[in-house]
Amino acid sequence: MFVYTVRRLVLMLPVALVVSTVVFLLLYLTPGDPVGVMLGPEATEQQKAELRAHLGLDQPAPVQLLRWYGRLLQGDLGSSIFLHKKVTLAFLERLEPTLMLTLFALLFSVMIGLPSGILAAKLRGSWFDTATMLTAITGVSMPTFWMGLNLIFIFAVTLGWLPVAGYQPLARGVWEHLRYMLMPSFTIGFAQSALLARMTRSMMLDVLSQEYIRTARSKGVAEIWVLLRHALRNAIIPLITTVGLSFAVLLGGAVISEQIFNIPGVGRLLIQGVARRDYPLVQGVLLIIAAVYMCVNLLVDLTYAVVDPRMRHSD
Amino acid sequence: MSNATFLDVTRRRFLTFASSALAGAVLTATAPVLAQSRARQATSKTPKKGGTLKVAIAGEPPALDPGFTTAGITASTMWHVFEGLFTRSSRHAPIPHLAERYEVDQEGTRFIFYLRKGVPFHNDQEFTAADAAASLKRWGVVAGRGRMIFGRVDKVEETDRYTVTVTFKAPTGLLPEFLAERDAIMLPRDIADKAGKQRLTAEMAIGTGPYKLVEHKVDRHLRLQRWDKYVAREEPANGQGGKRVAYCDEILFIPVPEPSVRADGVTTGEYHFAEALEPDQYPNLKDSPGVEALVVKPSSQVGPHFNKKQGLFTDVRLRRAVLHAVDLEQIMIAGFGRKEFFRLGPEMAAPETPWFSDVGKEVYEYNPEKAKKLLQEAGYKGEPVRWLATKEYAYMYNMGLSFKDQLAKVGVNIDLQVMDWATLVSTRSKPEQYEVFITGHSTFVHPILQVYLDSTWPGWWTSDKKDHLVSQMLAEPNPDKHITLIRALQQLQWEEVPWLRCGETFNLRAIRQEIVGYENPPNWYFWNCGFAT
Repeated sequence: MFVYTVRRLVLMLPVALVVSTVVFLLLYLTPGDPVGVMLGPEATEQQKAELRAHLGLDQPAPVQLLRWYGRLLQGDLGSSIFLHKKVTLAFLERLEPTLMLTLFALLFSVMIGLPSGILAAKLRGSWFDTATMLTAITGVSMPTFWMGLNLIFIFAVTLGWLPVAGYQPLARGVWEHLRYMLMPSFTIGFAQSALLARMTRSMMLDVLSQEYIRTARSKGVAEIWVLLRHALRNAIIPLITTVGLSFAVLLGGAVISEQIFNIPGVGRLLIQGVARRDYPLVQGVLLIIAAVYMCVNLLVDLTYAVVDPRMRHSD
Repeated sequence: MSNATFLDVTRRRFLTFASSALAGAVLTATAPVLAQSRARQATSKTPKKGGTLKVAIAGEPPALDPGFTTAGITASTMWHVFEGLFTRSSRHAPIPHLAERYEVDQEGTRFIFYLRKGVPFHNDQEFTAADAAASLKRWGVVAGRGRMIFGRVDKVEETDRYTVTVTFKAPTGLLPEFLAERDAIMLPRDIADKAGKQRLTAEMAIGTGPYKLVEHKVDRHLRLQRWDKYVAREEPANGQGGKRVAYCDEILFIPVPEPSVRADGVTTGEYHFAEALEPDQYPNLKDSPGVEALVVKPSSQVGPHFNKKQGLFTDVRLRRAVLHAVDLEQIMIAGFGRKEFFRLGPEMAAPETPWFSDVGKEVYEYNPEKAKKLLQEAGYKGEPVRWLATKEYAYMYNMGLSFKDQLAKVGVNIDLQVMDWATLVSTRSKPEQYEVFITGHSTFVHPILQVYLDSTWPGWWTSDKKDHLVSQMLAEPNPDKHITLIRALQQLQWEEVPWLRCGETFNLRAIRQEIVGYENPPNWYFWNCGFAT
């Protein structure tokens, strides 16, 4: 188990290298540069050339790439051209909103997806099953931004229950924080819950048709325990992967949700970075995000081992 | 300022949101003036002191230094903090602000500025001639317009503690027009010297304005606080000038890239003011209780700029052919939807300004037959015209589509190339890569401030006649003589067609009715306004 963990950790390094190189090249192949955006639409060519030189952007791409690797080796992700601060600091400052958004969204998706999937499997063919699956398909198909704008229209503009957009940090009070988080996290959590409900349903259906379930029922185990203790325990392993991947997907979904609901998180930082061609920022943040994805994957794999003893022995 | 646009922001945009920062930037700079359609009833009331004004802006300012960047959103937010020697009256003409008064010799080669006494910076130092001289010199190296002026400056001297003298090598009577622009900011001497060409950081944002900067959280807000020691001019308010009073305790500028969210935010009271809204939102805003929809005029003129350095459009006959081949009203409808949001005309400056003229209206005509004849004379044989467009400013794309459609009818083959804003800005500087791009420019400034008059600006309008007129204007200290020169320049613009001015568009903003004293100028500001008692 230990060896397995270490091996997985070491394998993350080449992946990180590939990610950072590809990101670097993609950015440099994209036309446009940060200077035009920074100096505004009426800047003279001379001003642009001077700033480009000042920022080192007039150097050839291989030189810049080598510099980036050099700094990376020292654990330095560089400084954002626009924000005038270290990329790591910029990332950390934006982490809270994105993390909270993703966690709440995950909570929504599990709280809605898991029970409705289990019930739909139990009540297979009933109106509940049909309704759940119909909702699930709708949830998966509905574009996040459209759903977000509709929620704003209903709950903020028409009913006035929740704020239109914005963010209040946890430090400003839990209730205030929740008021701002409810709609954005539901927006991305709902789509994910739909996926989770469908997965849960089909996993449960697989397991429920097996003989040991029939045995459990025949020996008089209460139906609730059959479902939760006997069936769910076995159905849950693939579901852990789904939840783990959901986390990654939700992080991605946060980009759109942050945009609509005006949340100053990592997603917006990244989009802004791309639009402004803030090369060090985009490279650094993408590298961190890639590392987070890899860690989540690793955690998912390790959780398997905890949940399913067979995995431990096979190592 | 290039690029009008409020209207440019479509919902599609939010994925490519890039623009937002720009949009904001741009918009506000070009932003607009008095809502003539709906005069604000509340303006006569005096606001009470106190409260936090929340302003939804279209994007994050790319810097806090209006000298460093030409982005309008920087100037619009930060001119609450920084002030200049001059500002603009309600007729948009330059009037002294930190300067008490000035003298200029008849040739326009020597200006003496007498500064106001007892004006403190936000660090409690008094504003003196040493600060003014250092700030002017910095403006001369950092800002595009400053560099242009300083190319003609012989020396800047502190005559005494409150007097600065600027001597020119060549007559530059028009100096106050330039000093009234929002990039000519006054800083404490040590900061001006230290910053030089580099942009000011948040810590260096020390001005004399009615509000001081207290916090900048990127993408979250820019927090300004009333500067209690502010010393205002004594004359009554006149446009941006005269007496400035800070009524609100704080102003929060909140970047909100999605225009529908900005509008909804004002409707629900989350924000008190929103800029750069879409014309589609006008009917809803008009009917929302507690909200006032403000159409702002003048605002910005828009149209395609031709690449005159290389390729097809070096031939003026082709540029004229485009002018006659299209129905400009249709083009403007494509760009801006509703007729309340634009007007047509040949002017370089809006009718609300002293620089208005209708010279050139006779060539400003829709005549496809004439266009075909010109195309034939120029020997055009269907070569593709690379036309740059971006959906981040929707009007650029939508107008481009209408041009493509109408030009196809006279046989012109438009290759509409859609890209993101950062790419467009960089591509338009490369003469080998395109023929046309669309952008916008303010209509409420002296025509000499139009950036496209500079022959190094994308599109590259090189013309001896133009240069001659520009230098005559620049030298002339008597504002009354300018209109003659402006008419001549406007006439030349319609003869040489360096760009095709399609018309002028109006910005849309929304404000909560509890905010009083706001006058809806082309570039918004929030001194002299606040919460109703």
